[in-house]
Amino acid sequence: MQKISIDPITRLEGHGRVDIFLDEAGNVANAYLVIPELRGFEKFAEGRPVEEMPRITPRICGVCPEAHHIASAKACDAVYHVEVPPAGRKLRELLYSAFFVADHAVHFYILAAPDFVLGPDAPPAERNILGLIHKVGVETGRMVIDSRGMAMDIIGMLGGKTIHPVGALPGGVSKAISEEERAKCEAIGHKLVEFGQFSLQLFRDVVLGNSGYVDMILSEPYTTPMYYMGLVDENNRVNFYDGQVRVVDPEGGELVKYAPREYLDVIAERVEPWTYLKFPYLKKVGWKGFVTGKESGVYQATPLSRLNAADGMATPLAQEAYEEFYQTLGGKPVHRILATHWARLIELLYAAERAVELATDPEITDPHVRNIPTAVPDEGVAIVEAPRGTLTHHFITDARGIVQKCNLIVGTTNNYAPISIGIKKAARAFIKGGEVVREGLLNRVEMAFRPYDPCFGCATHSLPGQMPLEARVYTAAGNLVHTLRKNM
Amino acid sequence: MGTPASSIQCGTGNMKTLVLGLGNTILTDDGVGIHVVREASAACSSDDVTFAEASVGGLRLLELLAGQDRVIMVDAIQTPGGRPGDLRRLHPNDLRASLHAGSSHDLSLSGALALGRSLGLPLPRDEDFTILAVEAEDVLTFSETCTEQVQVAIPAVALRVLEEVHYTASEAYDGDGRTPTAAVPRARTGGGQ
Repeated sequence: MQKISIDPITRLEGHGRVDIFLDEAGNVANAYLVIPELRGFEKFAEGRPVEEMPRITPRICGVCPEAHHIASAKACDAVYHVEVPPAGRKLRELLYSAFFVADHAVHFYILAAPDFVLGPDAPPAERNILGLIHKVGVETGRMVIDSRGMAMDIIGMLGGKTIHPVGALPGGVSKAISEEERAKCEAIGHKLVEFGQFSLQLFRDVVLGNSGYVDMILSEPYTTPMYYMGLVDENNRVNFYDGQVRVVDPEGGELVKYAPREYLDVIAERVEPWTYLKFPYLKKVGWKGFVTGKESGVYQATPLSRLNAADGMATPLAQEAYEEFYQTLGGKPVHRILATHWARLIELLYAAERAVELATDPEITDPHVRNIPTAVPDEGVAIVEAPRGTLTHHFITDARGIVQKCNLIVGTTNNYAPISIGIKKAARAFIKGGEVVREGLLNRVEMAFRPYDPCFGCATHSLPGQMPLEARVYTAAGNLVHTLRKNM
Repeated sequence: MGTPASSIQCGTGNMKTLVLGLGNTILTDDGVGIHVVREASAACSSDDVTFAEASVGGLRLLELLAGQDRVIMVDAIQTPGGRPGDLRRLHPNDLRASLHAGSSHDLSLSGALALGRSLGLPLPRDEDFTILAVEAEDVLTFSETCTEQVQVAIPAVALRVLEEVHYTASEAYDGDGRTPTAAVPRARTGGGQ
């Protein structure tokens, strides 16, 4: 069996590795994403006061600390059986909305857009944010940085710090906002809405206006019908902060809608011998292997799945964009994984509109932002949508609130199986009959999982000391016959 | 009553210098950069030098770097065959490959610097950007302490940081007339520059 490796993955964390196994005929037999796992979090958390978790869990992810912060705070609310006052809830959601704008902007402009704007076969030296700026102009680059910076200002104001926020506590948040701060959030919110609209227009002009890209989005290698998961409000509209988790099948019918505390009834984890990773799947449907479709319990949790799982967006401009999305792509649900990049921008716009809604809500400056917990703590589960998927925090404590057990399902974990399936599928279409793998081919395989924006050991910040990206092709006998290098 | 046995003054020749420890202090050796900088900052005070710590990369890092004349960054690194605790002295160009590889969702250091410069942000020149990279053994296990070899290396790396910042050790005698502080040895390096 031949093996092709992509190691490390372009633009993704250096700890990841893709192995593509070819058979004797030089066709793809299987493909796996092999990644090291952060170890020992449960043991690390045991014995700590649960109210420390909103400050500890953000350190698991260097990119979405806000998601863990809010998820842990909500889990603590559940552990202590305390209800957050309306102003506290709205401040948390306002912070969270700003975070989503910043995070989605970074992913789209730094990671995704270069593929479309420069083209997937452009030289690697150009296929990055610098190439993007060169093509669309410095002003666009400035707008991205400035918009992100403004969103971070909101996070800093409400979270106490821009990095690793500390503002959310069990029962609410630590401080109310003044009218001056509220006005600033509102002004920023309007600018972020403009930024969202600009970004969607850029996508229309550059991607939808290019028939080659549209063909790529609609192409079979990047089409994987499966179950879709996302948090929805009481009207089945997308909500990042709270609600119930809704799962729809590949035809769009609702399979289940569950409250956070019921997650173990719905999700099970599959263990495979070749990786530390566990692959969540839907219990009701069952594990049928690395395949998709109605009979397989594999599901995804992404911006695309959130739109598929919902009946619409809760804000007007995002709802228009949502309708355009499904009209263009032929109805719901959409199975085109590359369309995730488009869905991400619709979510960015929603988050910006939601920020304005919250910043103009009369309750948001109410001084009562926290209820001090008084009940005996025991167990709590909370779910939020992280940018890269549904995030679950589950803590069990003793009567003093000391953590006894914890379980986290981070956003990317939901997508381990779909990512592997996507790689295999894309690889099969582009690597055939022993054909020498060209650079562009390998990038197309990576394009299959980049929409998932996966987190692999993001909490580590060590410098990438490895060699530049290398792909190795082995014969069935295990001899290295060809080495490809990327990004030199 | 004695005076302190030694005090260290930092002088940078009026260059605004940021000494930045990068890492995650709950992931074993991944926090070494922060531990080093904490130790170095305890031994140095200067109007020109700022000691900071961060657990970020890419664009977030760019925001910290803008406006500095000089940056000394301390971080963990993992290289094939590297010995835990060894030190490498690098510049951003040594991480050339990471324009594409690197952080999952954000720019690498090189990419962030390149982007910042293209947008006209005031950033230090590559030759004024030093990376002290400590070889790590374990960056994947949750723990608040480093592995033994990395832990043992921290004081020497902290001294190296101070050397990079061009400190001078002033000698003083305590009331017992002890000999002045000995010259500071160079930190052990692992074969880098």
